[in-house]
Amino acid sequence: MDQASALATLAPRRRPRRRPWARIGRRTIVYALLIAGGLLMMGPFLWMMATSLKTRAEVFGSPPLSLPSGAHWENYARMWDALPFSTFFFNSVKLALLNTAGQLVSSSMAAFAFATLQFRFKGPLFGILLATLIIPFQVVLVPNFILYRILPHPLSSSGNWINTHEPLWVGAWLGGAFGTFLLRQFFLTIPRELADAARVDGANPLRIFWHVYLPLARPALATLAIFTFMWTWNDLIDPLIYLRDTELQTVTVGLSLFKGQFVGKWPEMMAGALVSLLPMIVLFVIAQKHFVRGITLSGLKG
Amino acid sequence: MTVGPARARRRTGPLASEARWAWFFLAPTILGLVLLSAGPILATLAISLTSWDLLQAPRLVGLQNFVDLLGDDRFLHALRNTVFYTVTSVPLGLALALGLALALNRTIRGIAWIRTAYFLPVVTSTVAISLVWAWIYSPEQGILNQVLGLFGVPAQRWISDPFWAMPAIVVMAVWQGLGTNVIIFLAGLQAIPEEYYDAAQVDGAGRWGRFRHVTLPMLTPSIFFTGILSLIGSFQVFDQVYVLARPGRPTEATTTVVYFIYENGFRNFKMGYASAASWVLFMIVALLTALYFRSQSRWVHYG
Amino acid sequence: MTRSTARLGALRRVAGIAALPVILAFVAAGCGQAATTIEYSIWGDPAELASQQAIVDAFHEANPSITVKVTVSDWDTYWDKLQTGLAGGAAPDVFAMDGPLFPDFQSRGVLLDLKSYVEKDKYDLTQLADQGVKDFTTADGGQYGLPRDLNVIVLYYNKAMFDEAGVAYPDDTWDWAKLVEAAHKLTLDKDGDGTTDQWGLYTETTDMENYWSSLVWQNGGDIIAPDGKSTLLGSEEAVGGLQFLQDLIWKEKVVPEPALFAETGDAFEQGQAAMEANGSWLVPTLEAAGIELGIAPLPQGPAGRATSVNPTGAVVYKDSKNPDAAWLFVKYLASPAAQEKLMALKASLPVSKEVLAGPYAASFDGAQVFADSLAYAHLKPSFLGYNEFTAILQEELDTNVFNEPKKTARDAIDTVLAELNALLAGQ
Repeated sequence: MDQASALATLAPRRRPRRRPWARIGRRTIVYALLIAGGLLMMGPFLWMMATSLKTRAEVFGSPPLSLPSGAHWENYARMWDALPFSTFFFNSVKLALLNTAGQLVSSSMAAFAFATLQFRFKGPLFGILLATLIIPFQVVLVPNFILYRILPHPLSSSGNWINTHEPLWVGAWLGGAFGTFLLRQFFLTIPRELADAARVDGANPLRIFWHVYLPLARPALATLAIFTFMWTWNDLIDPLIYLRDTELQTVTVGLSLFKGQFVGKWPEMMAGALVSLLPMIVLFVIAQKHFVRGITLSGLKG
Repeated sequence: MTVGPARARRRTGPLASEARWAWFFLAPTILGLVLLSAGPILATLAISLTSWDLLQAPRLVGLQNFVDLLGDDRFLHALRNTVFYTVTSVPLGLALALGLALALNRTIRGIAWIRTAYFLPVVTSTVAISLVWAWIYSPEQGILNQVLGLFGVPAQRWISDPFWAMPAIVVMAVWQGLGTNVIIFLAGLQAIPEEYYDAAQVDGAGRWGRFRHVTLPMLTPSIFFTGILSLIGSFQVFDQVYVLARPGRPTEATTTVVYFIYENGFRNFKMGYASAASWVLFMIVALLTALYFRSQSRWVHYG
Repeated sequence: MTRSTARLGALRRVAGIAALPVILAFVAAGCGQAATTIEYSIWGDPAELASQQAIVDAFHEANPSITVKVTVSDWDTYWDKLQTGLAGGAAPDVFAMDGPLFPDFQSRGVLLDLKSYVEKDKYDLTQLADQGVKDFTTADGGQYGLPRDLNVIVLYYNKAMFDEAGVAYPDDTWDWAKLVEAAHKLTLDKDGDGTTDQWGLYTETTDMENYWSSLVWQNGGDIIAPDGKSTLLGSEEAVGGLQFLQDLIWKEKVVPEPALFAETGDAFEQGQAAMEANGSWLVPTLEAAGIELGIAPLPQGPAGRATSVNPTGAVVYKDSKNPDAAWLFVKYLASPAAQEKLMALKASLPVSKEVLAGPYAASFDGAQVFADSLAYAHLKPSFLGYNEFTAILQEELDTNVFNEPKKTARDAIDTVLAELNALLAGQ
């Protein structure tokens, strides 16, 4: 199997035939290695599953990867009932979707400009964008907070953006260094001739963006979507800083409360963490298909 | 997927209009930079010139914070540890991720589930991860010492021994971050046009030749990207140190610059000092990033 | 069963608050009635939130025109959120304050002095535990908050392990020698593999509160000078207290070295230690762990009895728009009605003397020990620069004294003494 196999399977195979036993042996080794590595990566996840079903006394009283004495599903019920988690889930999904959509739209637009168009200050502008990644968020926290306290908000009771969801997603629609940089890199690998051909046909940049670049960058868009969704979902500090009302909080903030000042409630915490992982695992299983399908540049030849 | 012949519409001055189009595409980003990023970032620069405890009015102290930093052993230790972390975790993480992405880039049965397994650490809660790794590193019951014991290696205190503490954190962080880069590389591998492989085949290239002359060059934009992101990310390492530094808090051997910044700004009421430290960090990373960018013409291939 | 149903009832009230602001906004907008809403910010877990919410609901019943919104965070992020809010000019009206950190906030002028309210209402401060009140009183007589609850350190013990080893339960006659003697009898290598599987005593070393501050006091030493401008840790007595803890770990080997349980948590809770010196906050956890739990006072040292008490207070934001309502609420938090609700959690001691002496002492087996300990409890040190001081000190102690015996307590203290004193003097 070579690196291009994913693509090769889509096209007629031209590989020289090899002796079948060698292939089977090879395949077995690859499988074994990948699965062994996969299990290694899954260790903490398996621990979370086991812990979520243990009693509190069992969590540390038995070896980490031991099975629980019985399936203590009540941990899940206790977790779910301890706080208004259905509300938290709704908030988290809403914020994650808004952020993901915003990043996909605004970053892909900016990336297209940086990758394909000529304009003044291109280099410096990209540098400034990248610089926003370099300042640690811990020091920008207070200035950001002040900014959102000054911005007027028509619907909030305080009149500013504090204690609303807006500080947690509006920024995603106004670009972002990670997404722009990621997509720029992918756009740059797309052969320029494709765009030139479209231009000759009279397509304007918006059409080229929409009909040439976006379809071809599907793997990169899927990647950005996964990351944005995940980062929004797992963000603890921003919801915590900007939100006050319990009914506005997110799953991640809710889960952090099980940590306790002195002692953690591990089974509930891990039950909650697992439930909160589900959306991301589902998303990943769906999105990872785009790493295989989707891109058949050869189709463009026609 | 063919590009349909767009309705022919005459436009004047393709180059002049191109710039106009650029500003259209960039409008959200520029708005974001001006409205959301510029203010707070410039504010931290101003704050770095003051003594500010967050609660009372700041007092201008000029460059004193920067002078103090150079004589602060804790900052220098943090800087040393951070550089160690970067120098070890970035190359290791990239090389492993690249190898793994190549291995996972195949259509075999169950590949979706195998990929998901490799992705799990990226989404798994950091607390769960750090706990399991703490178990791995635990001095007596720890898996690592038990395995090494089979080969006659004496038990080590992986986390409390200053010599091993940072390497132990690097290994955990590389493991945890692997999935992120693997995904980016996987996406990059898909973007390689098949014709390039066909052409290489026609030229008689073998497996290695195809990798060397098609896969690797075509993947350089992704490598360039993950390189920069890993570099910037590694200089901001905080979580892993915070959760793995047990018992207690990060020590001289494990404290990092961002932990230093956090502790000074939010625990010691020295936000001016913390901001100055973050600008020192900014300057170092910006310089390295600029050098890295300059290097790209020599090794990064674009379509 | 009763515990969990009681909790569920409280939790339902938590869920119910989701609707409150909506209704309130409706009432305020529709009827034009002047209702006051104040925000009360706490750290805690869901159980503590439920308990505080029950108190808030009772307060609202007594004062229908005031609605209190409780916001909760976990301990670490609580302070990030609070400081960001204070710096950004939007902080909660009332918020929880840890005793030791009080000076750092009070001195920076973000708290409201409640003295005028105390005087106007002729509020009797002596109805509250003295240590609790003292922590929120300034040298010039300001009263910047009222205590809400107290945390006290005691000796927990596992009755089954004592019975098995034939050792008499700890009582108020125990001293350091007796502790060491009993701990040796209770430190066991049951399977004979050369490693200990049951420890005599477990404690935490990363914060002075868990045990070592009490040891310093029991040895006649102290930690901080009364004016807060220097440390007294350099004295023979103070160093002796620290040395005793190092000896328990590394010489007597009856306390597990910190690295062993650093990740896995409380050895006593897991049934791997016969005793634990630690705080009142552990009672609900230990009761839930299924241990035959006994509670005794800390063994006395060469200089007599001592333990640590650390109050949590409720303070008012200086720029609160509703200081009157905030004061009413702070006062209510310390009232017997609220204190009895708090007491049900068992995680801390009430500050109301009436509740302490009455219902609390009888509320669970061992509560009396906590209540009695207050008579000889020292206030956890509370001074300017607390966080920075403890970071420097604990790094030295953890690295060189407790985690590994690289230095004696004397050598370690001498290493950081000058730096600590310079830090305190500069505050």
